[in-house]
Amino acid sequence: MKKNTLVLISLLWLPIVALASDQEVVDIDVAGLACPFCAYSLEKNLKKLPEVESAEVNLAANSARVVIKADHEADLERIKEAIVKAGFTPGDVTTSVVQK
Amino acid sequence: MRIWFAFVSLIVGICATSNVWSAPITFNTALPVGGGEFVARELVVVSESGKDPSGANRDRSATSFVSVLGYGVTNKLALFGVLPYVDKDLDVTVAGNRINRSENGLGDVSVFGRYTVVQRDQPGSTFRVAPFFGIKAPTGDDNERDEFGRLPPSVQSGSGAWDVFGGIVGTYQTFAFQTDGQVSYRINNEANNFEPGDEFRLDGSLQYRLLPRALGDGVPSFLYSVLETNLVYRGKNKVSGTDDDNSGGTTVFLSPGLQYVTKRWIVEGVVQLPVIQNLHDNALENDYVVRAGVRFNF
Repeated sequence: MKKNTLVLISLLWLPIVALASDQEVVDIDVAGLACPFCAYSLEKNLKKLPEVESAEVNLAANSARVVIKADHEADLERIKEAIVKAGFTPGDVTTSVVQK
Repeated sequence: MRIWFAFVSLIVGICATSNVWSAPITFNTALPVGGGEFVARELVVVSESGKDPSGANRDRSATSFVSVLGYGVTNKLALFGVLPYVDKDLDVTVAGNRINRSENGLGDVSVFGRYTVVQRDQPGSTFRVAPFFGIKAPTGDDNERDEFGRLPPSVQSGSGAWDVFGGIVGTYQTFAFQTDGQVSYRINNEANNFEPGDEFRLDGSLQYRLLPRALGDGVPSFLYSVLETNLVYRGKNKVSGTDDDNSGGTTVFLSPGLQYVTKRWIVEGVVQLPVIQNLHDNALENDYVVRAGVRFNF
């Protein structure tokens, strides 16, 4: 009986595990960004990139976190170009993979 | 007057040497408009001038609703359009009678471009320098009349002339403070036998972050205290080619204010108080100017 219950619980989790997927996250340093009003323009430019799911600035950390759509890859050069286009200077980049 | 000047110098000196201070309210900034991005500003300007040494007891008031749209052509080049709606009023005593002259309507439209020539970015700070150049088109009415005849140029909603202006603005911004400085010159041209004097301006602004005291994660909203100074020199007006000796001169404003800055909008206000008015002969002195407005990112 106990064994059957465990099997049933495992089967209930199966669809959730099957939906989980990997997502690339890009953390990039941004220089020249020192006020809230400027941060919006940067976030907006990053969000225009087709592979970007979300972009958030962390002012105090002088950085932006860019989350890439699950079935896409990060184009670091394009992300840097978007930062320059917004009027700022891109810096060091750290990429990581998280499970959605 | 010297006491005021000393006070201004002291405040500016304290602020400039402090290690802890978004954009000036009374003039331009060198901060970027992102490429392909728009910013908008709506501003109300109330000006009162009632100190009349001529004995005519002139009392002039003006309220302007100014709409500004900025567009970032590239990360360096931004274009701006300025459309004012003005409401002007002049009370004056003529031959013992008090009369009122007034006019309202769309004023003269200005367009200008600003190009960033220096950009030094560091984590949490930036230093930028940007020259700008623009023109003012005679889109406002300049030949309005009332029961007393043609309105004087100071009450018309437009000047009737094409004018040009230019200058250079510099900005140093950190999380804690921002300072801006600007030098500009405006060449005013003749229309209807009247030529306003050219204008030279020297502007400075210090913005010091009051809140939040410490930065948290994300993009917190900032409350800044603002202190600005404006030195304005106007040349004498010319009437039918002859200098009007009762016009022009130098005014220095000291302008305290507040500014609340979020990611999407800014709300701000400042009072410009004339602390020095060294005007020619019987030129009408300024009492105060109030500026309040909002800016949007969209």
